[in-house]
Amino acid sequence: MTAQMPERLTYKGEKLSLAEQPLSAFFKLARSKPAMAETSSALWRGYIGSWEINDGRLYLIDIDGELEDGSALTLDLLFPGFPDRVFAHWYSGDMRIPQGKLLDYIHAGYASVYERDLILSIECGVVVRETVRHNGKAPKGSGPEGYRIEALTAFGGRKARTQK
Amino acid sequence: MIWVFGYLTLGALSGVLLLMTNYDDLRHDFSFENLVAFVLAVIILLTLWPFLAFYLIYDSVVRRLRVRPKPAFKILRRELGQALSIEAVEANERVEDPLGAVPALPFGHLNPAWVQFRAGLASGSQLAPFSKIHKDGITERYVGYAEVGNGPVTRWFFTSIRRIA
Repeated sequence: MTAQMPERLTYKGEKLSLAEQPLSAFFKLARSKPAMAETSSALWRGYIGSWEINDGRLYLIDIDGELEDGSALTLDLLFPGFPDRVFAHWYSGDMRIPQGKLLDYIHAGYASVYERDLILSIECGVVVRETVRHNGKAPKGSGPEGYRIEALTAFGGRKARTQK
Repeated sequence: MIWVFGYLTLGALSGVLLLMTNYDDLRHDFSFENLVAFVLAVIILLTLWPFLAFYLIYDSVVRRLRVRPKPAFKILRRELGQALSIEAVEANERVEDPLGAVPALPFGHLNPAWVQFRAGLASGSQLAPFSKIHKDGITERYVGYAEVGNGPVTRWFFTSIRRIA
């Protein structure tokens, strides 16, 4: 499996990469998932969600994706009547936010190791704990900070997404 | 003598097969190293092909034996909490949000799935909460409500799935 594009998270005013997919749990619980177009080997899930922590609560505020029929995936389509903001009350788990420089690139899922992992523990959509895991220090002169994907295959004829 | 000839012929056939399947790669990516690697592979195939064949057969048999059916999720009656009426469950499971980003319905954004589940319940059914760890490749904690009856538990509704490991 190719390294996967992260979800986007705005937390304390910072734009971060989220190595977790809170919508996967929603699709499992709701027992329905729209048929997404496969646009890239780095995006098997077919969408990128934009999330926000606001006053300790997790919200989905945007989604970028394409359905099999070529139409755009929108929040209103997934959550009718909620086109701008969705409270992720269905989600409980530890959200991993890789930070700092890359220590070990692993071309699979979200397996690459970065200097730090910010872990937000969520219970029913509410942040209950914030911890930082230190994984090591990158040598001086190593690459830039931030989440990285070194290779992907864009599937022909469909819009290929890029990290924003 | 005929056995040796037969042995080498089978090895040579495997080499031809290897050449045919890799012809495009060799042609487009021709280098001395690739050629040496290919010649070595042919020599190994020519002389040691029974070991390769044995390995391939052994690997496929072992892999097939290792594939076990996934454990089905099930809930036992003793794993259930106190039974509640459907109305009580719906009253307990209202989700509130100060920004109004959730419908004012039982189970919030999961309401369509709940409505579907409830439609399959007999009138007067009772539901009991459960929280159970299930392993299916990954380990997850499933939380929800199950219909309480006299027999085994067969109907349930998940409200949360949390990955543990």
